[in-house]
Amino acid sequence: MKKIGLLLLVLLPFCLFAQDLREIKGKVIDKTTGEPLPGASVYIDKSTIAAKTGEEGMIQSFSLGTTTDIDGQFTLKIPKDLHVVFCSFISFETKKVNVKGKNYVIIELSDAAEALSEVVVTGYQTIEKRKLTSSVARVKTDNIIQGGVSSIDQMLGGQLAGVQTTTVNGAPGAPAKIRIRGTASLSGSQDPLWVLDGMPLEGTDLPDMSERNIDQLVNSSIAGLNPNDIEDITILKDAAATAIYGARAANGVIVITTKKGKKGKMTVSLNSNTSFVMKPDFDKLNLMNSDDKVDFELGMAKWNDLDDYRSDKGAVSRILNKYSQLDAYRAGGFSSISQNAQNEINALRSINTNWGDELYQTAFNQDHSLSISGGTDNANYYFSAGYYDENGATIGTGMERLNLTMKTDYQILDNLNVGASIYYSNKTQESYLTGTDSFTNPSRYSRTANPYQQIRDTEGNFIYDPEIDGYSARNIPFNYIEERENTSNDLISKNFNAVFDVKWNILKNLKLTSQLGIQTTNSNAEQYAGINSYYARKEREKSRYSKDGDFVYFVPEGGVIKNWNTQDSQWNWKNMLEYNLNINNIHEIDFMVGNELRHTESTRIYSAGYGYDKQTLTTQPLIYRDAYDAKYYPLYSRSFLENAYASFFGTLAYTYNKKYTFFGSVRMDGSDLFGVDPKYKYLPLWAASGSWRAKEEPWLQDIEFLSDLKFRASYGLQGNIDKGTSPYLVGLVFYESLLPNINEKTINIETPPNNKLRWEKTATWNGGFDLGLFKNIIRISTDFYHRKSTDLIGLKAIQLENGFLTTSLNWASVTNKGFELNLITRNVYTENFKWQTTFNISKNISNVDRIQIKNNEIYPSREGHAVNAVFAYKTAGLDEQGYIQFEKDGEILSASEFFESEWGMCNLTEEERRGLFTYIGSTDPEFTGGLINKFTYKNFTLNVSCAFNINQLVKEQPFYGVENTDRGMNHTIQMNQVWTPDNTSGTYPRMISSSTEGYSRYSDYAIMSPGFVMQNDVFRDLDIWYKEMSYLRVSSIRLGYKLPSSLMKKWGISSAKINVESRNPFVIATNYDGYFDPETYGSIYAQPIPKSFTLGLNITF
Amino acid sequence: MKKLNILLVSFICLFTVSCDDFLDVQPVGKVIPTTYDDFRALMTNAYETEGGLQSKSLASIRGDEFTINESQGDAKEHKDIYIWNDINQDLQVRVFDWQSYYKILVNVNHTINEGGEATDAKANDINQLLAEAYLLRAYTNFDLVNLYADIYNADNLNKLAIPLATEIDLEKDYKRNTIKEVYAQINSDINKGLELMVVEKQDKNINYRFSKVSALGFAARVYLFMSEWDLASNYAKDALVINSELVDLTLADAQSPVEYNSVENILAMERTFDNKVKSVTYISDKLVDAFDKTNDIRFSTFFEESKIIPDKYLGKIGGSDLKNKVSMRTAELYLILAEAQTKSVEGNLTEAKKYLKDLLITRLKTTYYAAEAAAIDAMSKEDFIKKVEEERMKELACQGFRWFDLRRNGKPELKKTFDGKEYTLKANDPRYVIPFPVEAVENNPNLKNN
Repeated sequence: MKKIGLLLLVLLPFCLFAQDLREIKGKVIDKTTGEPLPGASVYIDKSTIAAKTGEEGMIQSFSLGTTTDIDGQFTLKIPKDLHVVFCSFISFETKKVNVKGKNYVIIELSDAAEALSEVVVTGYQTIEKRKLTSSVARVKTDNIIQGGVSSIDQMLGGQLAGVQTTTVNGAPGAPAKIRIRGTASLSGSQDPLWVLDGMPLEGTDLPDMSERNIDQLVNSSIAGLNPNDIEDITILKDAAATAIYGARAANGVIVITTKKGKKGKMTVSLNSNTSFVMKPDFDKLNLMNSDDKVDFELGMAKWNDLDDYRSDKGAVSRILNKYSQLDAYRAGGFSSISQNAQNEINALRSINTNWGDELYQTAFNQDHSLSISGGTDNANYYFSAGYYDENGATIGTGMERLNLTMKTDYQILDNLNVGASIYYSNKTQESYLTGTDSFTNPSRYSRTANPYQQIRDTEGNFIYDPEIDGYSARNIPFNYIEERENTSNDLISKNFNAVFDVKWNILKNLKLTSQLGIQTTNSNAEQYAGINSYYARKEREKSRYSKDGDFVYFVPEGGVIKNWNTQDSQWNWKNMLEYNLNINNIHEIDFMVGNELRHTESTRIYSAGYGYDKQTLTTQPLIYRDAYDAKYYPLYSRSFLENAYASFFGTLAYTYNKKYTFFGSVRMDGSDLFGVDPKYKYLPLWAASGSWRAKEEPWLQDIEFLSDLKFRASYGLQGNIDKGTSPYLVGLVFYESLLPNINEKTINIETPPNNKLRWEKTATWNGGFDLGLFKNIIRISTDFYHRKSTDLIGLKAIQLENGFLTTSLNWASVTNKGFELNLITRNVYTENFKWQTTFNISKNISNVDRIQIKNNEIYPSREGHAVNAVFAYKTAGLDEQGYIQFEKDGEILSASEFFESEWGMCNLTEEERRGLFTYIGSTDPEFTGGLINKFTYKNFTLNVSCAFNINQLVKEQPFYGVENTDRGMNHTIQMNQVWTPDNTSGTYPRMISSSTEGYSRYSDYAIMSPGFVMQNDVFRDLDIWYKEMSYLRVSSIRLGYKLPSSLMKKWGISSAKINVESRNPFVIATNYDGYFDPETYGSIYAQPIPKSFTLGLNITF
Repeated sequence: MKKLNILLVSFICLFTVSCDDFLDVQPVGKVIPTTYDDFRALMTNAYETEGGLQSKSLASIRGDEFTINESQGDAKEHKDIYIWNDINQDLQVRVFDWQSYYKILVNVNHTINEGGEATDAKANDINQLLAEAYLLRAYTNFDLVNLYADIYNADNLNKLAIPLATEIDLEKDYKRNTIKEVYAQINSDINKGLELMVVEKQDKNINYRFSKVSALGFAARVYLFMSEWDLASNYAKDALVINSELVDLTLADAQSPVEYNSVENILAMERTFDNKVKSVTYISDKLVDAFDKTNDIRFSTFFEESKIIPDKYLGKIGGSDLKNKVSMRTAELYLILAEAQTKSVEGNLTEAKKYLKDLLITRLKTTYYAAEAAAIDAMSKEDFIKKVEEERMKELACQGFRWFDLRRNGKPELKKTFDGKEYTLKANDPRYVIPFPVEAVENNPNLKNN
């Protein structure tokens, strides 16, 4: 075989030269800009030659083609009787050029995004855009890429209609939260499915990133990809597009297509960015300075009714108590206390520790990637290496990533193509350790640390924060800087993805493809706290117990180290048989059937060591008292999860006269169904859709201004089944001690057996049109959708005689409806100056149609309201004693009247208590969208990208507590708006205790005291903390300059670009005082969203 | 081309081959009970749940064994129970078990209905397992009916009690059965349990499981509550044939009789005096005064003086210590015999007195015993009945018996004070029946008409 191959190679040129040749010359230019396109491929199609030689199979490895030079010029020798050549270029439409009788041709290539013959990659199929019937959005990475951003998900903000991207935390490598068309599920995952070159990725669901979890380092498999390797991103939104992905696609699908080598000479491309991340503007937090803080504490000290809560905290209290001057101060004011006390208090005013400088920094980041690509007729290749290094604006945070990508495609036989892609990344994320207490989170600590609190004394020793309580009222020394120096929190992730493809054209119209995708992720999280850290001290303190009259600890003295090792792997094998038929160019039929097998495994190992010494790497044993201690201080634990899935699917598309397309798809998903009713083994999903290219109708052909018009409509049914519920009695195995000295196996049944479970069904309607006006100067694409999810599995209370409180039943129902509008306009289009605007806006309205809540639920049911509904107590200002008043049926009531409470008792039922809440809106924005302007002037380009959110309900973190304001902590200057007997113009309710106003308002106090009468914290549920927020964030301003090609030519460079970019330069928003960003409004734990300047260089050889 | 054929064939095979094997993944740690081992583990879980219930501890708070230490933060969680306030209770008040009892029944019913099909064990093992399941179902229903329904007597037979659950069916609308029906079920389950029972006495380390001796003892207890004196006597006697041993407290290093491995502990299943109750209470004066503190060795075995407030006593037994689990002791059998023999028409008062004396000789210091024995010998039938009642209060103190005995012995008037206020539970007060927990009624309106 090898010999024959060699022989062929030797003989081939003769086959060709046996024919008469002629030479053609030409130039390849960009149709829209008229610019020459260097590096474009001009070639002869193999099959053309094969046909010409009449000896099929002899020519198969033959290659004939060239690439254009820096001026877009080419010269090509072709057989004399050949009339057609092809021209292709990355991100442009491939063009067939007739060269009959021509020696010089100018080939104009159109931007693929604008070409009608553009294809849409769904991950399963490649569909010509003209045949598209569903709601799909696509964006090219080149258009959205930002310098100094690690991951593609963070670049999607504002780019696409119906795709809402939120940054919940500004930490390096923090994933973005993406919602496609609102929230469909009430309890399950709401994250979209990510697909990499056809392989659905595992490990993309984000954990709950709310307050307590915000410092958790997350390894999303998206974050392992280098954005520079990505060609484009396609988002599948409606059921017709996603049905082929089955149940996992309920939240939409994001398909990533990576770059591949193009036929032609080798291209080397170097991308290099250097960024400076600005230190956040600490003044935005509006915190009190030392002067304000001392005044505030003196103010608090005055009121003896507030002595119940941490009244010994704060430097002022300590000084007053030290000199026993509190009574004197209360009697005669500041001037009447002893001179020593006055001096000490005044000294505090002159200390102003800048916590912003201690916690935040200006950081320097870099990002480099190098790619080598190219190809011949029979093979193409793409290799890239990337290095990314980010340091966070918060000191001690960062991320470093190394990427390697290899992609090759081989044409083994004339009709057989194989491809292999390998993606590898090694990522290290670094953060601070906050495990023990939330106040060790820098964002939170910077807000609460006293401005007069010093970090080190004159000898350089750490000064411990006296406001920190420790454990069980036992002081544990805490110093923020010491803590940072002696603790670490790292996550090292290794992501390996491989995709192998085989494409076999069995017959002209029949194609078999097979794809095997392998994904493995290994991540190791390590938390370390040295002996000199609050964390380690507290871990030890928690283990204290008394023995023979003495206190002893079962945790040894020393450091603490904890490791979480996670190994996830999956393989996904997909086979498809496609058949295409074209009858007289009138009937086009595309038929596909396929199957898919998937298997996932996940192993998690936790290990911990106490008394750890970083130098010697040794740990010490824990001397447990009993099994209980051992349970709460585990040293090793392991879990293993395995799942298997098998699916079958098929699609059928029929296009009539290139105008009308009908499309249908069916999929059945089967999964390992331990304990699940066999009748639910395969989940049927289907969708049907159609499109009408109205512009192709003769009666619209003549309307000049109408350049394109197409209508689309689709309906689809998706389903899901709860795998947690079984018709059988399924139990979990434990080992327990019922009597001393014996440990026995027990089986606990956690959910009742249920054989009445049905599919969760989501039916989606989608209708839309694509309109092009005035030679596509204006292009509009609109979609309307209605998505109704019924029989959603929800917890429903059952008779307790069943042994269980609730069971999963098909119960809840949710509707989402909305519209999306995408508008692209070419505002100015001259030879030297061009201006294009892309605008998108979308609106989603969700409604919970049916839901059941628990009897003892605190908040009202969301039934009839948005999925993310917010309920609060309606207030009506303050009374003359500074207490908050409530409003009910137009009446103004005190807290005790509103809650019908007397002397710490409330006689309302749970239901009546819920009735006191008022629905005040939703935390989902009314409108979201983006605005992108692109200007081109000669060699300069300027991109301005913005994302906006309109009318979103946000909650401010209450800046004080009405009965538990901690005078030992710093607060915002809003404290001066709190009502006090000295400041009766204050608008926020006064601080109270049971004895305020001589106990006469005891009942009101009891209501406001969390857990006393009301289970919830009434103060935090007041409507005063909510407001509507709208913002427009300028996410990127990017100025690019393309160096003149004449200059570059001398150095052998085909193109060079310099970019200057400013990320997140400013935000136009409703007042968000007290927080860094409108996105993280209300979160005192989130890190600020970084602002940066980037200098970038892009050179292609 | 051959390779391509193979590819094509394998591809077609993929479409046709059954995926069932591929999808058959056995999850780690999850199990559908099928083997003997599984059902045993299911029963162990039921025993464990039974052991952790709080109802009997709370019923003691409702009874007269304790006074609440009002200065304790947890007092709030117990106050409404203590003063028999069942309406508009404090939100933090502890709730009597309901769902947990029925959760035990899920395991037990599944074992009874499916456990017989486990074929991987000896018939004896399976019979033993089924016997325990029947007995645990009877035991659970017996506790439920004594907490949430009126007592068993001729007038009450058709009164509504609790819903009986004997199978697993989420669609079933549970309605309350009558007292008669509930006791019929209990008796039938005990009989089936006794029929199948294999093990005479359990090894001490698995003494939480039912055995022949505890099954007979439990039958005696049930018939005592049904005032079936002869049956109670007979079952108690049968039990004593297997084990009649008592701990002799007069010996220097005698073990506490309530401990799981004492010679007289025949069922170490429950914690009837939980940590929370232990920390929030003192032993009531009534109970303390019932003892001769120096001569009755049980006093120092069960109680100790508070180090903070003199003359107040705290419980030494119970709590979270596994070794203090106790549901039945031979001492109870002696007391059952003493009572049943007295109350039976054909009863023998002398024999009855002998049973009580046999118990007391191991509980009282020798000289004091001699005086007590003489006094007992001199007692009339009526006085002796009172004496047995008092001895039950002392012997079975803080072990979950007193509230049931109060109900059984005429529902007397009780008085308590809290925060200076006096509260009374009148004689025959309807509050001698504990209302169904609010959550249970909310989820099943059939429970409303109590």
